Amino acid sequence: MINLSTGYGTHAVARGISCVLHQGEVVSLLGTNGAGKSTLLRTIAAFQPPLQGQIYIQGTPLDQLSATQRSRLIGIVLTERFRIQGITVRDLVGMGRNPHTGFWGRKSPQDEQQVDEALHLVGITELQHRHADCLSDGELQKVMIAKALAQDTPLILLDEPTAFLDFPSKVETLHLLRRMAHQMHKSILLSTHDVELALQMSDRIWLLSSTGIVAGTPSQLAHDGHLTHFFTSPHLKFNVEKSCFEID
Amino acid sequence: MTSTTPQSTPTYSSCRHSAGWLCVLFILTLALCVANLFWGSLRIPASDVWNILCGESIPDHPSWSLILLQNRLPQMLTALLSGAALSCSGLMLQTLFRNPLAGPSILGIDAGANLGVALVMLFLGGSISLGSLSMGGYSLVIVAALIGALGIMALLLGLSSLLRDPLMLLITGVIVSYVSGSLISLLNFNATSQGVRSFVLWGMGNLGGVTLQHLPLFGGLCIAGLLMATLYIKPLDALLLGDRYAANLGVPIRRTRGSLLFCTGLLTATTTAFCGPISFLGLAVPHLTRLTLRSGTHRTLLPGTLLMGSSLMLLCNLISVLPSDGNVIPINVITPLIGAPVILYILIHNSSSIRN
Repeated sequence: MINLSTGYGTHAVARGISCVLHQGEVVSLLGTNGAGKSTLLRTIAAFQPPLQGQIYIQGTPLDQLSATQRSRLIGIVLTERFRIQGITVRDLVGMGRNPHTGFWGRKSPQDEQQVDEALHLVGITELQHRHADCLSDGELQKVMIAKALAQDTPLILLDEPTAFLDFPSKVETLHLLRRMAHQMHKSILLSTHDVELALQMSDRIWLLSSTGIVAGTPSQLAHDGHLTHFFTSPHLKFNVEKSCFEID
Repeated sequence: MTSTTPQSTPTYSSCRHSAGWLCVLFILTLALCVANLFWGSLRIPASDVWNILCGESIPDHPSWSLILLQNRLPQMLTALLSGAALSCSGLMLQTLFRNPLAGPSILGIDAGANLGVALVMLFLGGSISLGSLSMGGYSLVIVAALIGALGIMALLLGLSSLLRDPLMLLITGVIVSYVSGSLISLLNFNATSQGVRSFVLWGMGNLGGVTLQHLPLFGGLCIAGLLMATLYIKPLDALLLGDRYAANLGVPIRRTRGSLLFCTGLLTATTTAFCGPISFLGLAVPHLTRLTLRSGTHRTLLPGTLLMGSSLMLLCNLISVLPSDGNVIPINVITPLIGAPVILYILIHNSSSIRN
């Protein structure tokens, strides 16, 4: 991303964003409410055009890619819930194969195998015949991650994948994302409000504010004081040694 | 927040379940087609019906072959096609708007056709009324309904590129319905009693209005719309997840939404123009199909909906000739009797699942 500004119409939410997402790393996008995390993710996913600047994926400008090309490069997992009847978990994960199947969407044995692998990796094989409308939030989150895996894209964007989850599920989800990045060499960018977890589980952190992004590894950002500055509040202090926040 | 509902893993193959039901629906549709030919408001012995269909004439009753070939056959085909067309547009709208209560009449396309017909029948007044309608007059009604419906569709298509939220589009449809309703009231107020009567009769729905001469146009438009719908099975499935997920799976959202709106508009406009505004079927059939097939993918849902819609409309047509003294019950008296319980069930089911 080079000198990117995101926002709606003439209203810029964030300006001057320039940073790089590498292959095989988990990057957590942190920022206060309204900093523009979701807007940035939406812009990278090409749901909305950038107000200024350019996004490059594997060297190609995002706006020069067709919808199909994009769907083979970027997979997304969103917070929005949906209620659909009569669709099994397997059907849902199978939709991740859509960019790879033909006009009628018929899945080849290879596609079915990819679906099997995605279900297995996320650990929801036993859920595959369940109907999507009777899943818990955590289960649905995993199903959508499996869908993104089945989509077989080098880049996966997740909008607050840990929201609505209990603590063990948060850790489990982030572990899964780490495995996906490190073993399958995917680039994973997630937005989250779970700062301490993100600091422990991410390879790098992007701190987003209205003036741009500060990027670095968690320990770098902790030691050079960026984290302390970023989450300033009279009642909140960042303990650099323990890499956690303390409440006064 | 929803809780995990313990549910046993289905042991049957859900694929086989829906394939079996598709076969049942297919056979049912065929059977009802045959029944519609053999059973009408005038009793004709089955053997004679068979003979006439085989091309023989019945010397004692020359009118029978006329009734069968000029009346029952086109009426059967009309029921078959209009049922499929309305249900298909209902299904596409429910998926497109992700709203279980979306249906052809909600978007105001019906209302557009209504307004068109009202203008012809009421504003042009006593000079054209259904009772004394010549062939030319009847065509005028159809053209007016088509223009009205297509006009509303064009408006919605234009707005769909401005209004990103499908819900706003749905609300626009409702508003359009109100506006056209008020215009129709105004026209009714100033119309002759003859005009009002023929408009009311048209509003009750009539599958017998499509003559052999009109059938190629009606059938052609319906089949074109239905074929177009089958081209969108894959994007329709993706749209179940919402616009963003669908876009991420490579569906060009605006173009697809426009095409689907056009397709539903075409199907609704055609049936409303030729058969009058038929209520409830487009809304209820997709739900009935989901419940019977226990499937949500359009690969099975779309053919299922077409067959279910056709067979229900054929059934309604059979019921409409039940009085058997030459009288026919208007089709719009029957469809709500089937549709209303389904919609009530959905409302109760939805609210109970939200509570849980």
